[in-house]
Amino acid sequence: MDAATETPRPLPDPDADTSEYWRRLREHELWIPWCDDCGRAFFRPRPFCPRCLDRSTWKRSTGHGVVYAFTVVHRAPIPWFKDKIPYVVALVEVDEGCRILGQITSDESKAPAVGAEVSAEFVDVNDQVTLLHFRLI
Amino acid sequence: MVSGLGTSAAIVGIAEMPLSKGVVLGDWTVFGVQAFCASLALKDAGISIAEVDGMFCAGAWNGRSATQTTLAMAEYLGVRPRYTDSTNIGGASFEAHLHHASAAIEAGLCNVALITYGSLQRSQRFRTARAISEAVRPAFGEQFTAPFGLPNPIGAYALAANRHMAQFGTTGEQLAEVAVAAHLWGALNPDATDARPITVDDVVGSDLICAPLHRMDCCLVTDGGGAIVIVGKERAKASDKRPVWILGAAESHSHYSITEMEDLTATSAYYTSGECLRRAGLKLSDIDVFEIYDSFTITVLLTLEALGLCPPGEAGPFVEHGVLRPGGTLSVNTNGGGLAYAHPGMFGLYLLIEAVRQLRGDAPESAQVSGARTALVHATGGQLASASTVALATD
Repeated sequence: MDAATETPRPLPDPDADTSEYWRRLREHELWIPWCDDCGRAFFRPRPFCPRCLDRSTWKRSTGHGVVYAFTVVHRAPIPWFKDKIPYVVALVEVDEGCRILGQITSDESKAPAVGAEVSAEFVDVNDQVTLLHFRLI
Repeated sequence: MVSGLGTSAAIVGIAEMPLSKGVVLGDWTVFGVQAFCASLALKDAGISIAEVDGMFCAGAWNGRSATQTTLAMAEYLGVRPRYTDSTNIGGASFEAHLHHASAAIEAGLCNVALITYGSLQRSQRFRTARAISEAVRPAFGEQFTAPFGLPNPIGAYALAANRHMAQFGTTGEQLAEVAVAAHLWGALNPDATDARPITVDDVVGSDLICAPLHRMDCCLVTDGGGAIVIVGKERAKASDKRPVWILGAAESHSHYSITEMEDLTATSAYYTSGECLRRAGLKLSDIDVFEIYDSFTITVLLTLEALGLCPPGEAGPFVEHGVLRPGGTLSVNTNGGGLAYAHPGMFGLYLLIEAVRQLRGDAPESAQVSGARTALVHATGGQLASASTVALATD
């Protein structure tokens, strides 16, 4: 068996810091870690604020944001992505202030651009995992 | 001129693994490569392995970022160190090692420090295997990147390049000029892996890997290895070789995953370069030679700005008329750098070795910077994450 061709899409391995995020995503809701003390969001999820080390809480995001930076991937990092190229991966700054990486769903009518508005799109990849993508508005 | 500004430790031995078309010839392990380089560097310094009491080592062996590296290397070499440092902050590790070694020597914690690195990534084709193994069940931070197919590390650098272009109007042609200049320097070096002269059109016409970065915006993928020997002031003065003093150093990192980098166009080099020069008592205008980590063309543009060689955002127009080329106003990456000379996965040790060659006057004649007395080495590691600057000088 060729291990390379058998490699599936990499899917998250939720842990104590992140399982709440993935559980909410499964319900098609985007919740991000939030520090009440600093009054700011951050990412990736962890139970301590990376500015003040206070315990963090969760805040629901509107899922609306703008593209901070993006790349068009033309060479797949692993075989699973080979028939998906070219695809767009972007760092999106959501309205609550943190940045989240995701794919921009292909849309032939719109070209991705820094500053372009996007909205969250919930992609159910199997019966357990939902991934966050973004759609150009 | 500069002696007395902090000449407590110096590099007195260097060695580099010979490559043929980017590959180590013969049958070697990654440990054997490092032992070979260590023996040559110690011979260069005129020092016996029995005197080595400070061990510094980082690497990615068998395709994985290695841990307990000094334990493995010291065992292989038969060294029982009094000072040990397996710091791995990516490609900038070795500048941090040099920083730590000079501090340890100054503090009397060791007398003879040895830094080694070895890689067989090209001949053993580790990179693909690593990407696949990392992708199987991405954990920790990777669970927020790997599912989206962002190639590591180029995806991170492509995001930064994209941001720089959008924010400052930088063009693909300006990025390409970094590679063109590197190849012109490489053409002056008989040991360069890829010394073909190239044009801006060649670079922007090469395959897109992660837009806006093309294949020729990327460093080479080669084998390699090297070693450096550092000693204290008295020992250095008695050395056969012209000592290369470590006048100052500084290091930092701002994140691990590119997703947590605060500003994709501002690396920690802003801090480390200023702090390093301050510690060295030097100004930027005192520097004769710059060795700048060039994993990708964008890495160089970001570093030129952070070093203060041009204002933030202006590295594109700054380089486009050939300032980096041989004969230009700056001497940068004088062996061809990672883009043309060699890039064994972690390039930081190569930057230091080339700086020492320049300061000793041992570079190939046509690539030797005339009268070079000072060098600033800046390395960038991980996903634009770690930064480490070293100021070197000869008497």
